[in-house]
Amino acid sequence: MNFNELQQQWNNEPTDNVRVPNTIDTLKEAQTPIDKVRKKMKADFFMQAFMLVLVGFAPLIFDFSDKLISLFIPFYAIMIGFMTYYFYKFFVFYKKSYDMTFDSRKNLLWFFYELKLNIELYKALTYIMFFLGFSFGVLAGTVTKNQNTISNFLDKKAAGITGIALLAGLILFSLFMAEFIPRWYYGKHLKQVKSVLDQLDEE
Amino acid sequence: MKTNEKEFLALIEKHKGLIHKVSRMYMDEPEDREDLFQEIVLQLWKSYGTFRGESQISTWMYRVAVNSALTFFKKEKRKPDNTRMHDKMDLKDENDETHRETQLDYFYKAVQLLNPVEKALIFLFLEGQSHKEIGQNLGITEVNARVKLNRTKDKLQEIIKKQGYEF
Repeated sequence: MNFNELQQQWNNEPTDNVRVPNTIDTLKEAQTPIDKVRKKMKADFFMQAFMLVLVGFAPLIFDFSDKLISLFIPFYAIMIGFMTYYFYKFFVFYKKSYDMTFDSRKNLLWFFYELKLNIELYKALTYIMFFLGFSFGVLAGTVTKNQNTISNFLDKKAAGITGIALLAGLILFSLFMAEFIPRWYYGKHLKQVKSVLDQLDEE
Repeated sequence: MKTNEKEFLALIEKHKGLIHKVSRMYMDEPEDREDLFQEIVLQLWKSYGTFRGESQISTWMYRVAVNSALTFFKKEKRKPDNTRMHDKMDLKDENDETHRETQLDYFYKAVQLLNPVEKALIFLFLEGQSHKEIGQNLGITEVNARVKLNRTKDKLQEIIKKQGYEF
C-alpha cells in the first residue's frame, strides 16, 4: 500500500455532497456515554422520587398503628436524608460539563472515572435503601406482632431455617438490584470507554 | 440566527471535510455516519467558546472530532461487512480516476476492521500530523505514537491484502 498516494487522494476527496446543518437547533442531543447515562439517571430520578412519595403514604395505605407511625417517621426521615444527599450528587453529575478539547487519554479517563463514581453512588444508595427497608420491616414485625406469637415462632424448629432463607432471599435480591441492575443499565458504557482506554494504553 | 452561531456554522462549512472523514472512518453505515457527524458538530458547538479563547483551530477541531468519535457508540453493534469489498468492483480494467476512487473506497472499508484508537492514529496521520502531534492529541508519548502507527499501517495493509487487493 502506498500511503503517500493514499494521502494525496485523502486530501483531494470531494466534499461537495456533505451537508452541514442550517441551525444548531436541528442537531440531535449529545450521545456520549456520559450523556446517555445522564438521560437514564434523569428518568431514574423521577421514578425514585415517585417511589419515595409513595412510601410516605404507607401508613395510610397499610393503616399503621400510632406506635408504628412513630417508628416509621424517623426511618422515613433517614430515607429522605440519604435520598436528598444522593440526588444532590447525581444532580451535580448531571450538570457537570465535560471538556472534549482535552487529549483523548485525559478525556477518556475523565469519562471513565465519572461514570464509575456515579455507578458506585447508585449502588451505595440501593444498599442503604434495602438496609433501611429491612430494618424497618424487622422492627415493625416485633412491634406489631404479639410477643407470644414471636416466641412461638422462634421456638419452632423451622424458625431458624425460615429466618435464614428469608435473609438470604433479601440479600440476594438486594445484590441483584445493587450489582446487576446498574451493571446492566450503565455498565456497558463503562465497559466501552474502558476498552478504548486499554487500546490507548497498550504498549 | 445569532452572529455566534453563524460564524460557527461558516467555520464548520469550511472544515466539513475533516468531520466527514472522521465519521466515514468510524461508521460504516450511512445512518450511523450521519449521527456521528451531527454529534461532532454538536460537541464542537459546545466547546466553541474554549476554542475561541484558548486553542488553535486545528488542535480544537481534531481533538473534539477524535474524542467524539472515540466515545460515540452506535445503538446496535454491526460488524463490518467484508464481503461487500469484493463485490464492489474489479479494478484492473478501469481507468485511473476510478482506480483512485476505489483505492479510497477500499481503504474506508478496511479501516472499519481497525479498533477505535487505530482509526484515530490513521486519521491523524492522513491529516498530515507528525508523531509528536499525534501523541499530543491522543495523550500518548511520541515514541508510542510512532510504534502504534507503524503497527496500524501494517495491520491495514494486511487487511487489504486479505481482501485480495493491493495498492
